Amino acid sequence: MSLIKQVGNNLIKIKKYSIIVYIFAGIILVPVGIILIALFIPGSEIWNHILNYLLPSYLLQTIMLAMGVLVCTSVVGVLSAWIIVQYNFPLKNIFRILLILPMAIPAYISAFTYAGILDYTGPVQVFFRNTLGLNEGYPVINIMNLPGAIFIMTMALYPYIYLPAQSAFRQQAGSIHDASLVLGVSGTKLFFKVSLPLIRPALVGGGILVLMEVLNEYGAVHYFGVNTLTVGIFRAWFSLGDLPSAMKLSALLLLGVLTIIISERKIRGRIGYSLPTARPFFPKKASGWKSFLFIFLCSIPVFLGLLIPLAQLIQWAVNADQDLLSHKFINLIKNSFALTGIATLIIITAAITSAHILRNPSIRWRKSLLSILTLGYAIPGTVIAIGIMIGFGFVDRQLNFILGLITAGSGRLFLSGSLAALIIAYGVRFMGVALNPIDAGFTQISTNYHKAARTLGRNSISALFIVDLPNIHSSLKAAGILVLLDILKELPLTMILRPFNFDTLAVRAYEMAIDERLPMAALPSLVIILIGLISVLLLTTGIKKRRI
Amino acid sequence: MSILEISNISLTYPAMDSPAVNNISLNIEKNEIHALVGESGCGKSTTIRMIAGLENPTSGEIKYNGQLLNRAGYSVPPEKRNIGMVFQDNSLFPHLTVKENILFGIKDKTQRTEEKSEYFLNLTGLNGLGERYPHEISGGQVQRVALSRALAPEPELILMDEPFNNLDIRIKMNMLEEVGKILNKTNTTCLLITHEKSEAFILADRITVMREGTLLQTAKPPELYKSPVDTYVAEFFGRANHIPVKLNNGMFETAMGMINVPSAFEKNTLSELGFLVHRPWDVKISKDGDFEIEIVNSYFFGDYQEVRFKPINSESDVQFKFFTHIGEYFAPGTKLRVSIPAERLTFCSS
Repeated sequence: MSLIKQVGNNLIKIKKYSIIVYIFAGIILVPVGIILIALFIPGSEIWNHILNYLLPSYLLQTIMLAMGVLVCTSVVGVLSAWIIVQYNFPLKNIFRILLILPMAIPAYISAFTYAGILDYTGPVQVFFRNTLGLNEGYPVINIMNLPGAIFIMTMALYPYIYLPAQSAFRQQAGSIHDASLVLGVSGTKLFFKVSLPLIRPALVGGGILVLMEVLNEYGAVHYFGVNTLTVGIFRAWFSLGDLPSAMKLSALLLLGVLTIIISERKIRGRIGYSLPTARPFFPKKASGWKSFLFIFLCSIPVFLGLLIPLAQLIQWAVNADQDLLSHKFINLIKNSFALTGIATLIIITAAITSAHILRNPSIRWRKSLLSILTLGYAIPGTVIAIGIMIGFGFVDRQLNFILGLITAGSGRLFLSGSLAALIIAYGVRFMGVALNPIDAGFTQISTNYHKAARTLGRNSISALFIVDLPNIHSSLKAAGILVLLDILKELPLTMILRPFNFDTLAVRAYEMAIDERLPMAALPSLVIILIGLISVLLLTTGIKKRRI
Repeated sequence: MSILEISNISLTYPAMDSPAVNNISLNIEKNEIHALVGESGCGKSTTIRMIAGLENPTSGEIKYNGQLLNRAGYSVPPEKRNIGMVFQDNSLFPHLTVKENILFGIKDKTQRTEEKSEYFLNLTGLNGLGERYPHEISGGQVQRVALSRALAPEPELILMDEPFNNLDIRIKMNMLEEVGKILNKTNTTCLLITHEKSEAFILADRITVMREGTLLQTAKPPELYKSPVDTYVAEFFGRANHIPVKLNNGMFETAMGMINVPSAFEKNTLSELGFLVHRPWDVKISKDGDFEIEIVNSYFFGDYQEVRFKPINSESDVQFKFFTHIGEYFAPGTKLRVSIPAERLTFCSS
């Protein structure tokens, strides 16, 4: 007893390493701070122009897109989750997984894929012309607009609603349904009065993720010509050449995100949802015609979100006659995977270090530190990229100044445009993605294991590796997969910060698409999707195992 | 008059070999509190879930106020039965306030009034808690809300599925008394399910014992305690001595000697082998007692002392027990004469 207590006090010695966590938090806060400062710098003439003529439309388009996607993903996600949990029908277990997979296709990829499918040379119009012999006057679906963007993003993002809704529906005790039935409330009334309100916390959580993804999205909206705030930031900088304006727009976007995060905490508010678990919930067997209906309904998002774009990409890749083993393509893959791998490794190491240090309950501002470290995922990549770029630009100027005093040379860039800057930016944005599962893993295992190992003669580091990490290996796996996938498909941040002439798969795919060389975009896209599909499958089977 | 008539109902769950409920029949009288007791897994929960309409019996009939609820291939859905139910885990809707929970089952919107909720909050001693959420009140209060919610649509019959399980023992005593009063005041018939004999004893007018899907005995509590149908029922409701007996020339042959068959027994109903069952407090020590016994050991239980004994000069391990008040001491090996009043004995064939 006294031994354990003593070691417990030793564990607190980690406190002296807590400086590391404060540094990480600082790295995340600096770009955020830089952007917020921009609110107070005087605007240029260009800013006045943006403010008067462009901003209202940016805001309107952003809000319309966000609301549209939120509503559509909620309907698709909740409905498919309800069908899957409530009923048994043929192929249900396959659909349960298939319905998750569309999240493996980034919105910017399905955006240009659908544009290709529906344009003049695409299979739909070719079918109308060649097979049906119609020359003019056949219906042309124009997808390059706001409704199109809502459609594309809904198909990419509804799994963010489907997944939490599904597990929330499943957790609803059977007895809550029984209670409702006995009190005379059944059918759709039961759904709207009991089942749906009960999954509200899950919906709010999923909805927030969807909103963050919408605000972060650059590729799909830019491609479709929808002028959201994120597109506006790019334009202010690259087309109008006014960095301060880009910063000001970023600051507005950041304020919007912070408002959403704060109001989410408020919404969760009073209603507690520790549900009774006495009687699990059993799905009903669907009757014949209902089975067909459910299979049909579940097929819609699977086809639109996964199979159709995938088929088109494969067709392009096969016909494009690209040399798979060409020097250029191999280089691209090497670049992309090396960058992704190194960044993932660094981020996971940082996350493990932070989470382990934060296990000590006596660390000051523990909760705030956790919130700061996970803040980055809510902040759009564009905003982080601009913050980091300005920060490093400042450091470079100071270094140059000092260097100029010593030698005559100047004008060198040390950090700006380096891989280090890119990796740090990834760290700012994806630290939370790694930290959340790792922190959850640590909370699940008692610190007594660690303490016991220490009484048996291991030091802190060795106890961490021998006892703690093996016990949270599934959390580590999840964290690694999530970060890897996020970095691999990341677009706006990489486009801004990548070193000159350094391409990743995502950037190459998007640039080819912008150049209207869609078939050339197919191969890198397929690599991203393949990694995505594998990741999602690994994660879902992993989760399933843990449930048992 | 019976409010609920259950006739020969059975239920076999898919993928199970034996039925969960096997051909049971039971009548619940109007305004009684009837307890259905048994160990977990005996089928009692399944039984009330069938009465509520949450499960359908494979065969048999259920009638409520003379109206058919279940027959093979026919079933009135739970929401149409107007039978109240209090669930084991209380199942309050966590997203609704106490008041909204209570008014949930009242179909007529004009009846969902402030007065109505006030009445039930009052009735169950929840004054001032109407606006709280279920997680903001205590376990005992949650149970009261669950009861109010079930009573609010004014059902004539209310089913309670182990409602007191999660309550602390002191709160439970108060709740049992109060629930009895409330049911009485609202003229509600109640079928209570429990595995706790004390709950059944305190609350119930009649008790039915269930085991492995079948009903063993229905009786008033004292009768059940005094005259159990078999050793299982005897043991379920308290400690008992089961003296193995053999019928021999109109007398019982026991390890302690021969006993006359008490005159109250109907001789033609007795089987050749069986047990004479009685409670440990029934054993009287007296110099001219019928049996000579030897003390084996005694155990201190606080309120009383349990004394183990065996027939004198017996080689077998068979032991019996009697209870004494604290302060009387019996050393192991002490020899005594005891008797058991004939009216305290019950014959059980199994």
